[in-house]
Amino acid sequence: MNPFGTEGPEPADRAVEERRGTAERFRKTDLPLARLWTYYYGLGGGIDEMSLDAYLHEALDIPAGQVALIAMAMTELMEGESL
Amino acid sequence: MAQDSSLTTSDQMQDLLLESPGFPEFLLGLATISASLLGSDGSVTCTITVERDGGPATVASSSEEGRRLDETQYAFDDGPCLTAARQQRLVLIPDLKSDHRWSDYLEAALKEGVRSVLAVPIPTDPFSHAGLNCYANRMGAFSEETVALLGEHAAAMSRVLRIALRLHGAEIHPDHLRAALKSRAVVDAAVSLIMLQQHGGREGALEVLQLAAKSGNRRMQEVATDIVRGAGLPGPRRDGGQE
Repeated sequence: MNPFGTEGPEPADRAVEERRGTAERFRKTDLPLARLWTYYYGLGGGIDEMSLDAYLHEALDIPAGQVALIAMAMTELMEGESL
Repeated sequence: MAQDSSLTTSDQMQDLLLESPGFPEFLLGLATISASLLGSDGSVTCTITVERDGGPATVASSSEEGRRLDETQYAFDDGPCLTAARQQRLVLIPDLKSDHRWSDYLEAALKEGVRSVLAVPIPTDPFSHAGLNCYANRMGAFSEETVALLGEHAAAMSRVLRIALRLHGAEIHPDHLRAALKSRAVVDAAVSLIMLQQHGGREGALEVLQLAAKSGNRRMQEVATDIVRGAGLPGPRRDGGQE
């Protein structure tokens, strides 16, 4: 997951990495933003759709907990589609 | 002359597409443009009905009377306009008093002062159907010429409407909204329980749910459902459980 493995955890860098990864995944899925936000909301997500949009366009930092929920929402949604 | 006016109309419809904040506003604009095509004296009311798969219909009307007429049709779940939209065929009723199809509905429409009806299908995509409905307060209000004009108008609307359905499509999926609401309720309930038991915060509780979902290869909502039903907490006892 972390290509720059050995060095001690740089939270800022890790966040950038994760955000980039999530944003990239989102672009590949062809998932409408509103659909992702709705699902993420269902998982207990706490940020609004516009902030999610900004986050996915790498224009906004959001708390790590929310990042994890967004990633989870994307994974579950995609699993659902391949079923 | 006719060409000029239809050109202006399609410009108007494009502007409408760009300026409408949501789908209902867009449809309302289309209904108003359609009514103005048929004369500016307000003697004809236009409504537009769009039904989508698994979703509620959206109805827009150029007047209050039209809205009531469409709602009546929905109450009967049948009528000239629903027929036009669902079966994609044109329905013309020159005089409501001498027509015997949809008798219950037509009676209700007569009471509203309607004497003739024209319903034109608007082709969309395989997941939805739409129709333009015109109500007039005198019989025989729709000449052959008007019918042809509205046929062309419906074809022009078809293009913008298909774009609008795509633009505004993602927002209106009632099944997804319902699923999200249900999931949120369960997750929130589970989060409350976890917080209470661990004297912890919301973030931490969500994390517990996520970890349990990941390690059990299950969906978060399933894990949350179990917890709400009384299953033990999937507590990540990283410290060996010592308090």
